[in-house]
Amino acid sequence: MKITATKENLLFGVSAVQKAVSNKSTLPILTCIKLEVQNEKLYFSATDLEIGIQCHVPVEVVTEGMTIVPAKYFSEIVRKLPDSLITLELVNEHELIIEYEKSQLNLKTFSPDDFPQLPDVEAGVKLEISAAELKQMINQIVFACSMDERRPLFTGVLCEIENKQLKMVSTDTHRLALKQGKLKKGAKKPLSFIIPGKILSELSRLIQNEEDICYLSISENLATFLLDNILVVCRLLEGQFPNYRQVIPTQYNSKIKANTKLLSEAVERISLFSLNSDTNTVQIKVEDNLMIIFSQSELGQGYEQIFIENEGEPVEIAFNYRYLLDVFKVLATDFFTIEFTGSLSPGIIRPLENDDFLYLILPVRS
Amino acid sequence: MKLTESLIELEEKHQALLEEITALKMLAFTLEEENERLRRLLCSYTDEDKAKVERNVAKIQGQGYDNLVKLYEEGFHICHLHFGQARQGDCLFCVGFLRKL
Repeated sequence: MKITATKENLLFGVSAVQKAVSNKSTLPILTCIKLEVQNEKLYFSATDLEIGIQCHVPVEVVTEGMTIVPAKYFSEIVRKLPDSLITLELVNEHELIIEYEKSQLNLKTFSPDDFPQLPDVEAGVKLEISAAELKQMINQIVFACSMDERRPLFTGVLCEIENKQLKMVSTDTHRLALKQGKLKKGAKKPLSFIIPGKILSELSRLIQNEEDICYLSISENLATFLLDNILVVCRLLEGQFPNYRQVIPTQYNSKIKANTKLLSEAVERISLFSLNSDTNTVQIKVEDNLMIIFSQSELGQGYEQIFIENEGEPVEIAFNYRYLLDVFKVLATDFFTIEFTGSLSPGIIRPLENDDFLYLILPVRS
Repeated sequence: MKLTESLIELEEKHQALLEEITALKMLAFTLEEENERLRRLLCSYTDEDKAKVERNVAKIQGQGYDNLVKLYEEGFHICHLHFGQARQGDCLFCVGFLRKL
């Protein structure tokens, strides 16, 4: 194997597959990256057996071949290389020579025979979605996933497909985000599956060119996402996602319309007084087209009043400010609404005049 | 296979089918009898008896609901997914379940 590549391309490759490199040293081969030269391209592959990522970059090929390099050292080397043309050459089957300018580095390699193959999902259901839409959907959903690995189901995102409609739902049981999008190519039969949230976050990071189409393939326990030059393979989470529909209130007692930026900034300022408290709570009072946001702790107290539009009963409620700020960051509209059904029932946040996203947030008892 | 043999086989199948229909007919007759008896029994209950049963059901359901609320207030999940496990903060699915009851 011998190739010449730019630092930029090598860096793109190692960065793209980095998330799939295992941190655990129980199987040393999983802490490596596979480099394979084929058809004028250099393929980078890594897998920790839960997620597999493969990407390719154009290179100048002298001879084809493959090798396995320790990810940690190879990535560090690539990051620190000068911005010039770099030659990689495999010699004696177990040594990779990295040449740049007038310098040379020799890196020991592993045998490619031991590296696991990325699973093939040829037989799965094939779907297509615009990369831009998928990225936006992921970003509006994934932050509401649980981080608690003791309840793995909630670390995932439920995907429901019916014809060309894709629904994504995530919850940590204190809040719930639901986003609907359109597929370019849907499924003939309704389909639902749960994808780990951290893998979707990584996929969102990997979507650079938003004009791409993402080709999905879903089998019984695996999902693949194919972008222009990147392939992500992951295991689906097993289990029955709870019935999220029954937790979404269908009626409300009061509703407000507010400016996203104004309210977000107000909550951010007032929450400074909740930073050290256990509940991270801000109190909200709504009456006569005025919202008062209030917080107090041993540090002090503060309130802000902002004009809003409200209908229905006056509201007195408390929310975890982190949950509010999380959703304000992903609301794509200037204005949004909150529907209240009581001081102990979840509030529903929706972008104004946009039915494809909703966010359910449980109040904090005060 | 000869035609006669085929016909004999068909006759046997037909016979078996007829026997099955007879058995099902008897079962249907028994069920209809039972249904009629239960209807008569139901009519023999007075409105007061019925009201008593309904009150009892409501009481049991009320106790069940109260027990679930108590369990939830004491800091345990009552949603089917994590029933009985200690909870941290309120749970959307427990609250949804209580609202549905």
